[in-house]
Amino acid sequence: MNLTHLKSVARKEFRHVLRDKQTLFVILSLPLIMMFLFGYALKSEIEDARVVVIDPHPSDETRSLCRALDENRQFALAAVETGGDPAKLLVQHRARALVELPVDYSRRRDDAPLPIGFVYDGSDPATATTLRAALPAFFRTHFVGRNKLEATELVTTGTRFLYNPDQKSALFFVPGLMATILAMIGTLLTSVTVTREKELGTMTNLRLSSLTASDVIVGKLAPYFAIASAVGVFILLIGRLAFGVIPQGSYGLLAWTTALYLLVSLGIGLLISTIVQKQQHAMLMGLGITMMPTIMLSGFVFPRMSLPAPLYVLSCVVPATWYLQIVRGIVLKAATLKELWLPALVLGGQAVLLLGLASRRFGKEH
Amino acid sequence: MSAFSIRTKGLTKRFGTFVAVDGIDVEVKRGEIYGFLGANGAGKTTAMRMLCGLLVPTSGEGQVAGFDILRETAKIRTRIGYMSQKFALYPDLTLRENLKLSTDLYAIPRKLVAERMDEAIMRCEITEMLGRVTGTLPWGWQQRLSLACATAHHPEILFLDEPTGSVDPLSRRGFWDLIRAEAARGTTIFVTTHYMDEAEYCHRACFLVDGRVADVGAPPELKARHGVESLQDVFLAVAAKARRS
Amino acid sequence: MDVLRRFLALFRKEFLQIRRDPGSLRLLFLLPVMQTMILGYAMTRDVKHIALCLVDLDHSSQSAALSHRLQTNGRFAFQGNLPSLEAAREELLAGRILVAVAIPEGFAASVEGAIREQEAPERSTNVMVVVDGQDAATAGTAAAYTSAIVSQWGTETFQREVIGQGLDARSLQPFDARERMLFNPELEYSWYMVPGMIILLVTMVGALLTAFSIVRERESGTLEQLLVTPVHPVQILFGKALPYWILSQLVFVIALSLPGSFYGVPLGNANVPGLALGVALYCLTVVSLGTLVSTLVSSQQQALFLIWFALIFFILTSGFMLPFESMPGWMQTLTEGNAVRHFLYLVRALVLRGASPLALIPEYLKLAAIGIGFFTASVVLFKRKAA
Repeated sequence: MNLTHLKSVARKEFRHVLRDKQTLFVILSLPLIMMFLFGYALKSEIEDARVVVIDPHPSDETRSLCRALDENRQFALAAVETGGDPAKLLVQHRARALVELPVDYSRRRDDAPLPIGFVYDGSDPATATTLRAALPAFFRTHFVGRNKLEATELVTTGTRFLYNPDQKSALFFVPGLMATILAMIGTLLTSVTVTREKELGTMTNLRLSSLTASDVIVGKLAPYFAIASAVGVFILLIGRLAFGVIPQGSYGLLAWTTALYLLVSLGIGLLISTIVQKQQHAMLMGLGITMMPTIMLSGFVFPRMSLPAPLYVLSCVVPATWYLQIVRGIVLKAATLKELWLPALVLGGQAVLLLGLASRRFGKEH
Repeated sequence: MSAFSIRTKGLTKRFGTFVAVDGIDVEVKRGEIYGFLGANGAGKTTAMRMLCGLLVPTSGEGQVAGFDILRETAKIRTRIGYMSQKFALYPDLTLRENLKLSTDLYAIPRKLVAERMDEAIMRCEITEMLGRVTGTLPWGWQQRLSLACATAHHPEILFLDEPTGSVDPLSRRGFWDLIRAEAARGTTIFVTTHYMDEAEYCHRACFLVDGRVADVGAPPELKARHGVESLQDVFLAVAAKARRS
Repeated sequence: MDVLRRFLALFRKEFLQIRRDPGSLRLLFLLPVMQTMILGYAMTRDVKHIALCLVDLDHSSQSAALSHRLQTNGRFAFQGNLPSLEAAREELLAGRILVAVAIPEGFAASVEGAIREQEAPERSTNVMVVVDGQDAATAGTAAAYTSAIVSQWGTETFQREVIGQGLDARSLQPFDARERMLFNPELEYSWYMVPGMIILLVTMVGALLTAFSIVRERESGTLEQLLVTPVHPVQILFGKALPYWILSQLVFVIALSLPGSFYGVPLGNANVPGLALGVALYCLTVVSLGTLVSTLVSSQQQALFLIWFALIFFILTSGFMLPFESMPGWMQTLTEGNAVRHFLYLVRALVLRGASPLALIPEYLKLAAIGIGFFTASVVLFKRKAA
């Protein structure tokens, strides 16, 4: 590997990348938009879920019940009807849940409990599950004190959350964002760009030039490595300034494990470019084998522990899964190499394997 | 019907502060082969693209086939053929499919399509490889296909932008035979090139330097005026004062 | 009818080119289908196999009963009993468990005391739940679940003992909850997520391929060649949009039927013409997004990133992964221009709730408006760019 040759290839590639201001703009805006969304607009808790109450015999008691329901943060009273078909109301999506009060609600009954109907829209299982627990719970607290013998809380629980005591969602999504966006730059950008040269026929003819395959590979990948690192730093900076995410652990460890992860992504990108001939194919392949698994299987959005066995195994192949463990560990738990040796080792191994394979194929091709 | 196929007055194109074409006056007689010569960057392609309606002039006026290049580009397009510098047909279609597409785009009357296609195929000598996918053929065949597609609808004017490319001299000569045959049929040919020896084939040649017309005339006339033996020397003489390229 | 002839010629050419690119076709069809088939099971926010450890500091029959309840619950993956809270903390730090439940000393005494008094104890017996809080959403759900089980054990124990003493349990309940779960009785997450996933994938692929196809012609110079012919720029755009519009619909139908049946999504519920119309209108917006982006970029790479950028925004705010109603009001209003949101709503309403298309007319209209809007913008910008 000749350093001068390498530098000239890298410099040319850098100029090329920097000239494409639009893509650079997108790469920088994407994390901003996603952080904005995750931080301010997207929530996983249920708030103001619409509930319709069917009250055949309105009274002061039922009215105060409805008021209390509406005031509760979790619910929003959509309407109070005197009758109607619950199924029809839910099909029309007027509400997520429906409460059917009995005609004789105001009557005090000591010997027989009041029948109250709860009808849920099951099409959104997450909301339905939450409402299924929350609505009856609301009623239970509303009824406390009405009867002689109370349904008591014999045993209560006190919950403590480790590492994220305020349950800040930012601490959760910032690592995931890093993993996703770095993968995007490392894999998608690289594979499409390198394939582009193939498609247009401007790829350096190694047999004619004095450059070796490794000169070209390292020179080509270097700018993307640099850009991705810059974006990574940018994400951490925004995370800190806007959301107060401060890594508890070592920055140094974060830096070189991120570098490893980048190498893996670049390796995949280069590998894809040796398999396909057209940019379009590179893009489709990159999306399929990198971006989708990274978002779906790594634990970024969906909990890994709920995966059925075969998918769990698959998730262990996805580099983002291991990287996410590392970043979350460092940011939230001040974890050190002692705890993170396994993910780091896996990433290192993947980097060596992928870059090696990709380089060999690249060399053979050119 | 005007005696001139192309006429411009003060045609100018500015890109920001850069003046690519600086107020050129051009007159191309009907049926002649008119060469537009100059070094790379002199403004030849820009001027041609304005004439074809691909680029809007910054100022000035012009008529192509009797129609105004600012307001009547749609009518112009039905009467011209264009061959760009790079190969601009579809590499994944066969020769025949590319040609057929051209006949449809120019809406050649259906009764005449077969006849025109056969004629173009024969003229441009691409009979053998009709069923082959264009991208697999060598540059010479692609070139001749481009010519066929540009002439099947019998345009009044044929615009050729550096048509011979960097092909060997023998093939270039062969292509010029086809061009001259086209001119013999009465088509006006407007061709740009930076090969000065090709200019010998033109009825008249115009030298473009720094976006301006440096000289224009029939080859013998130009050579006499500058007291030189070849158009290459004429070019060196007029380009001596060039600032671009 | 030269206009029609020119348009048909372009349309035919596009289809020929698509057919001659088997690589893209394969990826175009396989990507949505395979991804959905494989990843469908991954898309659940339901928390299962919760790694749990118990610390029983009471060693009584009551604490054993509670432990047993937790150990045998299907959602937990019981990892074992630990002798102390410190040991549990270590396991949590190491990431080997998600939840640790500690039953304090004196648990049985407190519980039995309350039963004897037949009253709410002044101080409820408290059980400690410690959760690894890295992933806020998962942690919250796991904690809530654990608390609910412990609470329920308490209630059931109390009732059982009280009934044993001759009291009517019904009087303990102020109300008798009668529950009905409509539309998705088993609460299958895949039913909810699979349509969304398909929409996501078909959108990505449809918009990208359309944009790429136009940008490629610009990059290679064939677009310029088209522009010197009498063809009108609008015809060029239509000639590109139409084939991909047809193709996206085809892919959508296949992608919905195959993985859909695989996961048991109740496709039979849906009103077919209503669904077909929705798919047609939505694919119009997808293809139009592609044409619009193609007028804003000059390379395929730029197209890729711009579309990716737009889609991430649209998909995250569409209600696909996270509940739509939880978004702040101003955000919800902003998404009126988000075709993914409307189409997702439409599909879920038709397929999961068996809604009538007539009730969904606002959605159809919005989709049409967005599609026409994008396409019109594309035409305007394309004409400008083509001088």
